[in-house]
Amino acid sequence: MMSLAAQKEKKIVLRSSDGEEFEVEVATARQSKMISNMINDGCVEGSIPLFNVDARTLAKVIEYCRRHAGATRILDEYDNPNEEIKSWDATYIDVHQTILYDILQAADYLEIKDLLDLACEQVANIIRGKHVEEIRNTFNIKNDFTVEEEKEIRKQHPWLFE
Amino acid sequence: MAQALSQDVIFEVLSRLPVKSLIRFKATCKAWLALISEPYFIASHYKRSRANPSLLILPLKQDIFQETVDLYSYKKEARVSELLLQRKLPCEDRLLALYPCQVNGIIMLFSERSFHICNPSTKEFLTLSPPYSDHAHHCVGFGLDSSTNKYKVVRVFLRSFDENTQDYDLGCEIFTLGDGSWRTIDGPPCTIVRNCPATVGEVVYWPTYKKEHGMAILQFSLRDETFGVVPGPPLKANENYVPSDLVALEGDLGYVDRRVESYTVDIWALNACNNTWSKKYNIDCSNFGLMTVEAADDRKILLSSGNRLAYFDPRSKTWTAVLAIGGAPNDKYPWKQACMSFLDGSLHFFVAPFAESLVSVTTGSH
Repeated sequence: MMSLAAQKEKKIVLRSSDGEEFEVEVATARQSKMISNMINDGCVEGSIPLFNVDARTLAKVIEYCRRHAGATRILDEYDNPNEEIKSWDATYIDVHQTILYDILQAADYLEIKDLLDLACEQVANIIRGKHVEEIRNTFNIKNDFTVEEEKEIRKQHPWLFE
Repeated sequence: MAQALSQDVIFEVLSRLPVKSLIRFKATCKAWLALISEPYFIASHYKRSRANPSLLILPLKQDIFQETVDLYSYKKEARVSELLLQRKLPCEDRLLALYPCQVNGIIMLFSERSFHICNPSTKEFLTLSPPYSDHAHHCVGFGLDSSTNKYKVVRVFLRSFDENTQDYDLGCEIFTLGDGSWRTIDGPPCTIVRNCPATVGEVVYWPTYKKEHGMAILQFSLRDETFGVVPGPPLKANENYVPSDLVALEGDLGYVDRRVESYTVDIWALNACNNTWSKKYNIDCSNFGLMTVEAADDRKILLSSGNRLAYFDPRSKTWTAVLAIGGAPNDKYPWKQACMSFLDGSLHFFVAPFAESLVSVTTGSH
């Protein structure tokens, strides 16, 4: 087992889907369960290609992982939610919607649970008041109901569609 | 958005939404309709919503004349109240006292004649068919049988009573949500002394009295549909006898011992494995004078006096006012800002911790 300090020194390289390379500390990379598993299995020679994450999103995700790699130890020591990191998270996730959805998908793909929770919470806050048509546009969803079926659903809860 | 979100991510996002949004989003597409209707999703959503509860408040106008049921949710931190559901009561109910019970965000209301079940979040309201036996003086309990994921209403009534021998005969009927009618089962071994049920997990409890035990607890298993008796806590003789209440603690039954002479409330917890009691909380009520325990967990105990409401923190032993009906504010009761307009004209209220749920009361499944 490497000491934490040694782990922090050691770096690995992540390559985004558009070919950009990012050198990150092992502790930062380990925030991703997927990459952590790869490190454990010893398959991190050279660079790790991430086919589903572009450079812009990866830079943003690494920013999060770097901050939280430092914060985990603080959290463990005091064993309570850290106000400082909460406020950092709130500022971090307050981004344009296109970036937010990219982060959401990257967090899911890279298995970064805390970031996935944070992004889901933010998306939920944004969409909770939206109309069905807006939701379909936001998520690229095709309405596959017939006119009658949709009418029937709306009829069950008229108070929601007024 | 370039790519479609995976099913897992959609699930995670939707499970964080309020019920109101989710019902509206059922009209988005077939996949979302199926997901939002799925029992596993409904359970996950409720689990998340329970982490951020509000208070459910039912203002009661007078003791025995209530034309409508108005269910409000109230968030103390934000001082925001929202009318969740308003329903006119059938004429025959308006002259009768109405008793509410709350389990998993589902409300059961009963009077001497009728039974209503509603989900204030989805605004579903269901009136049950009348029971077989019309004995009006009944004690009623409500809860979820998790083996079938169905809610059940249990009703115990006095079938006959012989004044000379003091012998009585108790009957019992059960209504399973989703079924159309009541079923008769064997009645309990002893009578219920006070109609204040507490549901913990799959068991409904009422206070009872048994010659060999003295004060005791009657229990009903919603799964097996059988009754049993548990001895009460080992209390010191209480001269100023105050009828005691039961309350659901986190996973345990709580017995509320109110001592008017010293203005204190003790809450005892039942260890259901070996039927032993231990004193869990001791509350000095002399400051606020509220002695009815509405709900309790390790962080806060909700106490009321029927028209005033406050939290007691058992760790710091401090009180926080929540709300009150009318009355002039004074130093002792700093209720001024806590008076809420939705309580105007009410005499008292029913209150319970509340979390939104998608459970349908018309189909009855969780």
